[in-house]
Amino acid sequence: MARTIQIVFDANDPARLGDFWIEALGYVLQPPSPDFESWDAWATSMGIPDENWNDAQAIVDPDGNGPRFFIQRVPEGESAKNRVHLDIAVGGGPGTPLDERRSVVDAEVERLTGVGASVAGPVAQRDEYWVVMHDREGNEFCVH
Amino acid sequence: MSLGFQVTFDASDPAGLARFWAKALGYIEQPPPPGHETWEEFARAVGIPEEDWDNLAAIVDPDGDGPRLLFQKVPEGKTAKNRVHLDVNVARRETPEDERHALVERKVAELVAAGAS
Repeated sequence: MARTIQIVFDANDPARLGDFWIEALGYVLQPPSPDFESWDAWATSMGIPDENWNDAQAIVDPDGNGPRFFIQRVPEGESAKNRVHLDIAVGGGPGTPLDERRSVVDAEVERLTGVGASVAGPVAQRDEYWVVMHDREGNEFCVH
Repeated sequence: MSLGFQVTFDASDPAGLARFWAKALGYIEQPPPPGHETWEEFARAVGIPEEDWDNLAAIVDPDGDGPRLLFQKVPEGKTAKNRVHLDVNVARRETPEDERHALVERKVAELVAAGAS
C-alpha cells in the first residue's frame, strides 16, 4: 500500500495562506476535536499563548480525497523559486479540446486572482496550456 | 467539490528522482498511454525529439488515492530551502509512541538506503 503524504507550506501568516488554499482548492479548515467548539477554544484550554495561535494551520479535503495541508509559521520569506509546486487540474487534460481547456483554465485563473493569487504568465507548448501563478506568499503554482 | 492537483518537482535527473520517490512512497511509474507499450514508443509516436525524452517523469499511487508526482528537468540546482515540502506518513496518531518511533526510524533507514540524506 502506498504511503500517505501531507503537503507542508512555510508561511509568514499561516491563517492567511491557509485561507487562500481553502479557497483555491475547495478545502476546509481541519475541524478541532469534537470536545472543542473552535481552535481558539482548544488553544485556550491547552494554555497556548495568544501570540502562538497562528503558528500553524491545517486544512483538509472535505471529500477525503486529497492530502492534508499543514501550513507552518517560519520567520523568513521566499528567497528563491520553490523546487516543489502544485499543479491544479481544471482543464480536463488531453482528452479535452485545447480551446475549451484554455477557456476553463483562464476562468479559474480569474477566480484565483479574485481570492489573492497573482498571475506570472501563461505557457502554451505543443498541445498544452497552463498559467503560472503565485499564491499570497509568492509560492509558485500552475493551473492546467 | 475539491479540485484535484499534482505535485511537481524540479529536478536535474527526473527519472532518478522519480525512482527515489516511487520507492519512498510505494508509488509506481505512470503507465504509458493506452496503445503504447513504453514511454519511448509513445514519445516517438508523438514526435518528441530524443534529447527531450528525459525531460519529464511521472509516478502515481497504484491505489489511486494520493496525488500524481511529476518531475521536470530544470537547468538550475537548489539554492534555498523550499517553502513547500512533503511529509511522509508511516504511523497513525493512535499508534503508541514507542511503536511510532520505531516505524519512523525504520522508514528513515530505508530512505537513506534509497539515496536520501
